[in-house]
Amino acid sequence: MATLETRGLTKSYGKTRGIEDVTLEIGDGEFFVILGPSGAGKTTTLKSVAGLVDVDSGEVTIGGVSMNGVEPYHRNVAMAFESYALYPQKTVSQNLASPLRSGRTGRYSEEDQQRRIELVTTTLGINHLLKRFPRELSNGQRQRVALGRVLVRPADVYLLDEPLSHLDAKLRAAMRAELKQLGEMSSTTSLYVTHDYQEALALGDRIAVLREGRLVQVGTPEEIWHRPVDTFVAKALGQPEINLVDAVVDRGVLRTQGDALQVPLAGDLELAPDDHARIGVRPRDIELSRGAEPLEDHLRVRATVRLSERLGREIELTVDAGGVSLVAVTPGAHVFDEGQSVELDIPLDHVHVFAAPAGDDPDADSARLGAATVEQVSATSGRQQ
Amino acid sequence: MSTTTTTRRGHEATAEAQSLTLRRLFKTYVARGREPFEAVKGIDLHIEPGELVALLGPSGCGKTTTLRMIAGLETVTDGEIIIGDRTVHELPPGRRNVGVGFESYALYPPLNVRENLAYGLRARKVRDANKRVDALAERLDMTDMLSMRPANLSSGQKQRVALARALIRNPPVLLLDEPLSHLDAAQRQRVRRELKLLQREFGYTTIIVTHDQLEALSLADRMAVMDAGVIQQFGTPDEVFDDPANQFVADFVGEPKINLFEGVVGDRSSDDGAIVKVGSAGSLRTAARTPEVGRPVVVGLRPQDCVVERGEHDASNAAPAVEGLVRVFEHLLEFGLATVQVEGLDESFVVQTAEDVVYDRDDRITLSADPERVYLFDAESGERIR
Repeated sequence: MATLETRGLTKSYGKTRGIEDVTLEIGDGEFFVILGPSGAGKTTTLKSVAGLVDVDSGEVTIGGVSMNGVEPYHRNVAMAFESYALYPQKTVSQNLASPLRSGRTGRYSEEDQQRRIELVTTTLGINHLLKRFPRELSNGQRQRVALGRVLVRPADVYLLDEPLSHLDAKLRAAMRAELKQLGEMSSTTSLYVTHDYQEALALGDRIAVLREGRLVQVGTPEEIWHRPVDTFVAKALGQPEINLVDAVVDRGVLRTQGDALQVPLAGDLELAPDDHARIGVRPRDIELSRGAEPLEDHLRVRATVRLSERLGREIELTVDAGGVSLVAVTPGAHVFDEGQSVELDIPLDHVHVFAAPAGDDPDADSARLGAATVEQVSATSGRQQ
Repeated sequence: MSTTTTTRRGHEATAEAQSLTLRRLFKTYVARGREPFEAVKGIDLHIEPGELVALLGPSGCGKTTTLRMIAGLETVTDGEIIIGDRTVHELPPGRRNVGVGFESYALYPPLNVRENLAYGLRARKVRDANKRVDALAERLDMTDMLSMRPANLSSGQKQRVALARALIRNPPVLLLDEPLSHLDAAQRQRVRRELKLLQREFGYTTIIVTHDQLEALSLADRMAVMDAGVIQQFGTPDEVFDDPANQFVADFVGEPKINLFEGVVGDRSSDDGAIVKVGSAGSLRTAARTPEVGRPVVVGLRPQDCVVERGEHDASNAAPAVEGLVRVFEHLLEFGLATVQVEGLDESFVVQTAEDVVYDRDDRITLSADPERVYLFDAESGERIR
C-alpha cells in the first residue's frame, strides 16, 4: 500500500499529443478513476505509471519514492489489461499461481500460494473453475481470472485498464458491484481507467476527467456531477446527455429563443446585458409540474411533447419549448401523447450556466459560470485548470 | 403485377404505409453432413401500416434471418410474407418494395455520399435523383457530407448514410438491422430520437432488429421478443415490461436486470393473490391467483420495483417482506444500486434506490413490492404463472 503521485507527465507520439502535464495525487488506499473518451490519454497515463511508456517529461512517485529509471518489474504495481492476457495453455489455477512464482515480491510456499489463490477465487466466485483452461471459460469468467491474476499478488498499486469493457451491460453491472466490494476489502491504492461514467461514479473515491491528453477536472463523484467545470465534463456524465441551450441576457434575465426558459441571474454570475451563454439542465432534473402554481425556486416551462419513449420504469420525453428542444426523463408509467402540451418544473439550483462557445463552432466546449442560484462553494473543491 | 408500386408513382408523395404480415414463417438451413438447423420456427406477426416494430433477442434467436427473409435475401422454407395485399415472398428483392439498412454499412467505397445515395435511384431511372438526395440530406442534416467518401466518414456518419440510403426510395416498408449499433452512447440516443421522429413524419411501416432492449423499449410501438426461432412475446413496450409472458422475456428485457430467485408458494390467504416464501425467513405478496400451495416457483422482481425500508422487518406489521444486508452500495447520482444479501438465497438481490438515499455496507434493510410487480414463473418451463 502506498500513495501514488504523478507530476507533469507528458508524452507525445510524433506530433500527436498523448498526455500533457498530467499531475495527480492519489492517497493511500484510494480508488481513483480516470474517465475519458477513447484517445484521451487514459491508457498512456496508466502505462506511464507502470513504466511501460517512457514519458518525455514528468515524474511518477510511489510511496514517496521516485520511479524514474525504475524498471516496470521493480515498481511493485500490478496491472490488468483490457484484453485478458491469460496463458492459453495453463489452467486457471496455473494462471493464478504464475504471478506468485515470479519471485519479485518474495517467495511463496506452495501452501501460501494455495491460500492466496483460494482467497481471491472465492471472492471472485471462480473457485469452481480452477481446473479449466481459458478457452473453456465465458468472457465474464475470463475477466474474473484476469482480475484474479492482478489481485493474487500483493502490490503497492493496482492499475486497471477498462477491465469490464468486454462484458455485456448486465454482466458489467454485476462485476462492477463485485469490484467495489473487492476495492473496499483490499484497500490497495488503485488507478482505474474507463470510458463508462457509471463505472466512474460507482467505483471512484475521486474521478479525473481527461480530454485530449489534459486533465479537465479532478474531484469526488458529487463534485464532478453537481459542479462540472465545463460542458465537456457535463456531457461526459449522464445518459441522456445534459441539455445545453443557447441564451442571451436581456433585462436581467437569461432567455432562450422564444423566451421558453427564463433564468434569473443570480448574484455571482458575471454576465452583462446582451451577453450570450448556455443553459445546462440534466434530463432527470426536469420534473412534470404537479400544481397550477409555479413552485418557488423553480423554472416553469411550457412545452409540447414531440416524443414519449418508455425506458423501463421511466419515460423519456423529447419536448419542444418555443423552438428549443429539451429531453426530460421522468419516473412513472404515464406515456404522453405526441403533440400534448405539458408544463415542466426545473429546480433553479440544478440549472447550470455555461459560457457561450468561443469561435464559430456552436458545439465547442465552454466553461461553467455557475448555477442559477447562489452556490455554496465548498473550500475543498477539487477543480484544476 | 396487380398494383403499381408506390415508389414509381411519384417521388414527391410520401409512400403510403402498408401492413406487413408473416404467416407460419419457417427457415431451415440444411447443410450436408449436419443436422438441419431451424433458425425460424413458424412465426406469425401482423404489423399495422405505419407501425414501428422491434424484433428483439440475443444473437442467434432468428431475428436477422426473419428480416432477411422479408427483404428477400433469404429464401423462405415455409410460410408466407404479405405486404399490403401482395404476397411477396417469391418476388425478387427489388420488386418487394422495401427499403433495407444493414448493420454493416455496405456503402460503395469509391463513390461519394451523394453517389451512394443516388445509386439505387439511378439504377431505377428515377428522374430528379439529385433533387431527392438534396432534400433528404437537408432533412437529415448531412448536406456537408455529400461530397465525402465513405473512408473519410466516422462510423456514426457512415451509419447515417446507410440509414439515408434505406430512406431515399421512400419505401412503404422499411427494414433496419441494428441501425444504431456502431454509434457511441450519446450519438445513439440522438440518432434514435431522429429516427423515430422521421418514422413518425413519413409514416413508414418499420421493422428494426436489435439486441438492445432499451432501444426496443424506447423506439417501438410494439416489440416481438424472440428466442430460439420463436416469438416469446409480442406486445407494446408497456406490456412486455410490466407483464412478461415468461422467464426469458422478464430476464432479457429491463436494466438493471430483474432479480430471479427460487420461492415456494405459501398461504393463499385470499382471492386477490398468494404469498410466496423467499429465502429462509422472508415472504412476498404476489397478485398471481392460480399457483398451488407448496409449489416451487421462480420469483421475479425488478430492482426498480423494490420498496426499501431501512432496518429490520417490523414483526407486528403483517405485510409480507424480505430482510437483507447491504453488501455493496453504488451511488450513481441519478439513482443508487444496492446489492443485498438475503438469508437463504444463493444469488444476491439488486435493488434500485432513490437518488437522495445513501446506504452503507452491512446496513439492514427490508424489501417489499407491489403484488402486481411480483412475477411467478414455472420452475420447469419458465412460463408465467398468473
